[in-house]
Amino acid sequence: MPVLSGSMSTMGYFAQGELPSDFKQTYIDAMRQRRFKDIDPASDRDQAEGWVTLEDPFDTEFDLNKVFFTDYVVMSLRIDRIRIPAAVFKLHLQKALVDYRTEKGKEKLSKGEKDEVRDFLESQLRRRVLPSVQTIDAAWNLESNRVWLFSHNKGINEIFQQLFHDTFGFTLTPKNPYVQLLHSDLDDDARDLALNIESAVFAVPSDR
Amino acid sequence: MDLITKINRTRFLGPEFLLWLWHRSDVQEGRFGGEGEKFELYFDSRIVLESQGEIRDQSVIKSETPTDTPEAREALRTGKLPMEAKLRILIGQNQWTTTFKAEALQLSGTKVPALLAQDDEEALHERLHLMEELEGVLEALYRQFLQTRLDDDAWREHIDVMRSWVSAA
Repeated sequence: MPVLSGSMSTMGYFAQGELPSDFKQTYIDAMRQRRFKDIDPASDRDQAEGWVTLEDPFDTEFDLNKVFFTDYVVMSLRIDRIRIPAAVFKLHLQKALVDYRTEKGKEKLSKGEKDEVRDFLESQLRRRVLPSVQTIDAAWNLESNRVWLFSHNKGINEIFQQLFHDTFGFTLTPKNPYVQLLHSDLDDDARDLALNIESAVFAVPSDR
Repeated sequence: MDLITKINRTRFLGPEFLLWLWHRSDVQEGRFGGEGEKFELYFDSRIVLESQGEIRDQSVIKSETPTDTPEAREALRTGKLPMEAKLRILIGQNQWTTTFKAEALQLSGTKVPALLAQDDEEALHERLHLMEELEGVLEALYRQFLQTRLDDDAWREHIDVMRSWVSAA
């Protein structure tokens, strides 16, 4: 896992919110509430997401020792997805439609019948497909209110921001030139000026 | 003006910062020794430059010292700005490498110095601390850039120096 070894790609955030008075126990409880839960194959959901501990994607038994490290809260976001490969689904669908026509003794099937076969097949295949498992580490420095998610993937970052907010009550703003400027201890005039200047031209014709 | 508009309106500051950093690293030969600074910063192995008009023409330059290549300097002279660069930063014996994405001020593929920690818990803390140290250096540099960029007199003087550097390269 990147937070413990290897190279790190980080999406840096500023976190904004209020720590509850008994934040450690409150956050352990909140993480338990939003822990990762397996996708129910009988449902029509093809994705599940939630928190797991940093060191084990199957561990959702949060406690103080697994979550709080000095100034940091550490956690992993686990995202499972069920995907039936399109080419495989197409092959199975062709066979299922032929079987259905034979069984019903019909030359042609209506759109409704085709949809019914498709839905039934999908529900059957979903039970046979193992979900893909992805875990993405995250660390929150409670002193500086900086947060890192160890992924640049846009979709994963959106899920993370929402889940983080729902769990801890803090809003995350990704770092960028403007947000960093707001955290650079500059005076109000400088901040206002930044919004009113144009980009500079550095390459000028040689005859100038 | 809402936050999204403000973010979009000032996104150009990222590539301008990276160019300012390139200029500083070039003229100071990588050594940063000003007030509160004691480190080396080099542009390392890969840089991406992009034109700023409607059509985003890109130059990706891979070389041991990409910013010294004729291709990189020519890209600057044609108005392209650095959007992404691999940086190598040395503080004492410690070395970090990272790819800096200018428009978002985000880092990827960061390698931190070798760890001293013996167990996982210590290693986790040390790696996070080393990441913070790296971000601290870059954020302090960004603040310095902003202090010049957002001061009309200082910027007028500085941009002339940078323009001469771009055209002389």
